[in-house]
Amino acid sequence: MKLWEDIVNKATLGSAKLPLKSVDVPENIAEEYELIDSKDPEDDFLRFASLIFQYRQAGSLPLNFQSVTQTQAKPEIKSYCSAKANGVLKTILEEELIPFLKMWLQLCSSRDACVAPELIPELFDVALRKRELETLILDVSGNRGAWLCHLNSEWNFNSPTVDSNELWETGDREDRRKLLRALRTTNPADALELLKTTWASEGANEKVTFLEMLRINLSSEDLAWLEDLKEKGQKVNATILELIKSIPQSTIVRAYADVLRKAINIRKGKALLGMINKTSLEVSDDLLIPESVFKSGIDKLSSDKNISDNQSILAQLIMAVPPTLWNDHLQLSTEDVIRLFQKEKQTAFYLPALAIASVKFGDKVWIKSMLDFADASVIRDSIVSLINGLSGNEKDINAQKFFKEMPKEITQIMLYQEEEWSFELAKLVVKYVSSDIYSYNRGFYRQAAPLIPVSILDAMDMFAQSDEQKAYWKNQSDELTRLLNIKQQILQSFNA
Amino acid sequence: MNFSEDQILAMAPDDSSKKSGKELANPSKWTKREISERALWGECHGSGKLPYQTQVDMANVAFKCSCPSRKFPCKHGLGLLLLFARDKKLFASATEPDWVTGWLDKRGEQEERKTERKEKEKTRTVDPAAQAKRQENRLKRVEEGRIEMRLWIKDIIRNGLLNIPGKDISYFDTMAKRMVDAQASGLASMIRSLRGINYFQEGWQTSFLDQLLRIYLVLEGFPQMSTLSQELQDELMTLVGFAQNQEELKSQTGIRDDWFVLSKRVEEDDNLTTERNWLYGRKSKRYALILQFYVNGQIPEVNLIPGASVDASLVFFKGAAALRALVKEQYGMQSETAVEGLNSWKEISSYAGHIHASNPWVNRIPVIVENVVPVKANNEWLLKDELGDGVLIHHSFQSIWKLMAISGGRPVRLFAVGKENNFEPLGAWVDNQYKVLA
Repeated sequence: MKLWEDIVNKATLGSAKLPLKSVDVPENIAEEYELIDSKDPEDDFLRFASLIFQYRQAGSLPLNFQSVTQTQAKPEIKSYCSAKANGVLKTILEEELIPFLKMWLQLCSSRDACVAPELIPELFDVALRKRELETLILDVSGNRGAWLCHLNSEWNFNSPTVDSNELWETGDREDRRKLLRALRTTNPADALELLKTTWASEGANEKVTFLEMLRINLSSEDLAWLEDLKEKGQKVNATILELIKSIPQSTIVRAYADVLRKAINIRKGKALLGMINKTSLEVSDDLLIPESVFKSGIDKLSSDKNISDNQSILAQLIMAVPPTLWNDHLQLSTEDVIRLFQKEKQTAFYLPALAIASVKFGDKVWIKSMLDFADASVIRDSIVSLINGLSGNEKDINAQKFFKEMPKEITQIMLYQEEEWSFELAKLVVKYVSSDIYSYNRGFYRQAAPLIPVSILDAMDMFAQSDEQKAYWKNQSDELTRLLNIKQQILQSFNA
Repeated sequence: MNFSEDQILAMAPDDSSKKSGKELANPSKWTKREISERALWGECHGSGKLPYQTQVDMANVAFKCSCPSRKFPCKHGLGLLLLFARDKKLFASATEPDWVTGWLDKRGEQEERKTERKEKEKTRTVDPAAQAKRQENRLKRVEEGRIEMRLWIKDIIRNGLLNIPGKDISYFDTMAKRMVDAQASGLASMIRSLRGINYFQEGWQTSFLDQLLRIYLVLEGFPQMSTLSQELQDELMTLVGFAQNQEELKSQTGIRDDWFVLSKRVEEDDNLTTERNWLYGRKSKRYALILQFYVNGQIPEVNLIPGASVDASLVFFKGAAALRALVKEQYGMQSETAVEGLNSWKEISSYAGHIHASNPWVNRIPVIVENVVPVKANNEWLLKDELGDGVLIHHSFQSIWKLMAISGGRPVRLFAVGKENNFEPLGAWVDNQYKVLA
C-alpha cells in the first residue's frame, strides 16, 4: 500500500525533518481525514497514521499468485509404515539413536514401506551428517522424498542429472571419493578406468586415498595397471606394492610361493621301529631366494635373536601368500595341513604366519580351520583377527568359544557386527561389561543395544554385581533396558 | 478416549519426562493395569518398597501418582497413558479400587467446594464507596501516566524512527515501569513489546509503527470511552490494564461446544510458564484463546491436547471480537474431531476485515483455511489458495519443510494465525489427521 509506505518513510525521518501531512488519501476515508486538524504536527500525524493503519488492516486483500505454480509429488507406490513404527522413529530421531535408526531403516526398506511424510525433513538432515545412511533414507522416503530433494538444494543427494565423468572431473574431494567408492563397489572395472583418466594429474595424497579404495573388490583385473605404475612418491609406491602383494596372481606373490614350495615339503619316514609311517614337514636350510624378493619388502635379517634369519624370512613369506598354496603344494586338506604344521615344534612356529595369511586373503575356510584345529596358545595373537574374519553364525560361535580368554578384544570387534548376537554371546558380553562398569558407559550400550537380543531382558537379574557395583550397574541396566524396549518396539512395529 | 503418542507427549513437562515416560510405556513395568469408564490406573514398581499407584482421569484428563516427583504429569502418568494409547488390550476392565474412587470423588468435591467458595465470594459485601474511591484514585494515576506516555510517543514521531534500533533497552523499560507505577500494566506490556521487535529484520519500521499506533489508539480512546460501544470500552479497559474478574466471568453462561484444540505453545520466562492454546468450536465455529500462566511446580488448570476435541463450556473475556476465553467446565473428551474452514483467502480477508473493523487492536487472527498449497516464489514462502490468491508465510515459521513434506504440493486444510498478508501456519490436516506444525 503506497500510502502506508509513505507514512513509514516519513515516520522514519521524523516530523522535525519532514512535513507529515499527505494528500493522497483514499476517497472513502476522506471525511475522517478532514477531521484531523489539531494544529499539533505530531498529533496530526499520529491520527492520520492511525486512520491509514486501520484502513490498511481492515481492508487488506490477499496477494495475487495466479502465475505461481507448485509441482506435486508422485503418489506413493509403497505403503506407509504403521503409526507405531513412525512413533518409534520419532523417539529414535529425538534421541539421535543412530544404530537404531539404521535398524529401523533397514526393516522399513525390507518391508518395502515408506515413512510418514512429516518425518522426511528430519531424516534428510540426518542423511547430511550420516552419509552412510543416505541410500536407506532415500529408499524409505519414497516419491515424497524424491520430490522434496528437487525442491531443497541442500538435499540434492545423488543427483542423477550429474554425469559421473563430469563429477569425477569437476567435483570436490568428498564427491570424487564418494563416487569412486560407490563405483568400485558396484562396477570395479569402470572405477579403475575412471581413475586411470586423471591418475597422472592427481596429487600424492589423493593417489594414496584412491589406491586404498581399490582394495574394494581388488582382483587380478587390476594387476596389469598396478604393476605398470611408475611413481616417484614413497607413500604412493608403498601403497601400490601392498595392493600388488594382496593379489595372489601377482608376480611377486608367485615368486614368494616358488620360494616356499622349494623350502617346505613333506617328509615321509618310519617310526616305532619301522612299524608305522611317519609324515612330517621338512624345512630346507638352503634357501635360494631371488634378490627381487628382498626388494619387495621381505627383511633378510631377523630382529629376534631366538629366531633365525631363515625362519624369519619364511614366516614373512608364509604371511604373504594365500594359504591355499599349501593345499595345492602338499595335496592335503586344510585340516591336515594345519595338523602337519603343528606336529613338530620347528614347523608349528609358522602357524601364526599361516593365521595372518588366512586373514589377509580373507579365506574363510582357512580362518575357520585355524580356529578349529590350530593350537590356540600358538596362534593367540591372531585369534581376534581370525574371529573378525568370519561372519554370521561362525563368528558368533567362535566369539563365544574364545570369549573367556580375551573378553575385551572380542567385545570390541563384535560391536561392529551387522547381525544380532546370539543369546549366549550377548549373555557373556553383558555379564562382562556389567563387571567393568567404569569402562563401559551409556555410549557403549547405545552402540551395542541393536546387537543384543531383546530376550536378554528376562535375564537382566543375573547380571547383578557385588553390593559395591550394584548401584552403578542399576543405572547402566536401566539404560540397557530402555534401549532394548525401543528395539522391541521397532521389531514389533514391523512384525519382525 | 483415543490419544496419539504425540498428543500424550505434548503434555510432558520436559524432555526428560518424555524420555522416562516412554521407558515406562512397557507392560513389564506395571504390575496392575486396569480401566473403568471414568479412569485408567496402574501400579508400577519404583525405588520404594510399595509400587506407585498411578491414575488418570479420562474424562477431564488429569493425573495423580503416589510417586514423590514434583513434575506434572509425572513419568508414571505419561507412561501409563502411553501404554494405553499403544495397546488398549493390556488394560482389564475392573471396578475402581478405593484409591481411584477416592481421588475421583475428591476431585468432584473440590470442584463443588470451589463453586461454593465462589458463591460465597459473590455474596460477600463490599463497601461500594471505598471501591469507588479506589477506582477514582486509580483512574487519576492512569490519566497522569497516559499524558506522559502521549508525550513520549510524540517525541518519537518528532525525532523519527531512524534512531530507535540504537536505543538502549532502558529507553523502553523506563517508560514501561512508569506505566506500572501508573497502574496501567496493560500499557506497560504494550511498550515492552516494542522492545521485543527484531530491528535487524527488513520491515521493522512497519512492525514498530503498527504497535506504536495501537498504543496511541488506546491513549486517545481511553478518555473518550463514554462515546464508544460497551465492547470497545471493555477492550480499552483491558488494554490499559484493568483486569477482568475471572470468577465473575465464570459465573456467566458459557458456550458449550466440542472445542477442537488447534495448538498449544508453551513459553518459559524466568520462573513463569505461559501457555497459549488456540481452540475452535466445531458447532459455534468460534475461535478461543486459552491463556494459562503458572510457575514451576504448579499444575495448569486444564490439560489441552492439540488434535483432541474437548466437550467444554467456555466463557469469553469481555471485549470487542473477543478471542480470549476461560474454560468454565469440562465434560469430557469427544471422539469426533472433524472441522471445516473458510474456502479462500478472500473469504478470510472479509472475515478479518470485520474483526478489525470492530477491534483495531487485534494483532493475530486465527483462521482455518481449506485447500491451500505452500509454495515458494521470489524467495518467499507463501500459501496459495485454489483461486490463485495467497498470503506470505511469516519469516519466523520454522517448520516449512515439514509443511512441504505433509502437503507434497497438494492442497491441505491449514490452521494459521496472523493478519493481513502474513500468516504463521500452526497445524495442517492430512487425510483428516491433524498434524501440529509449531
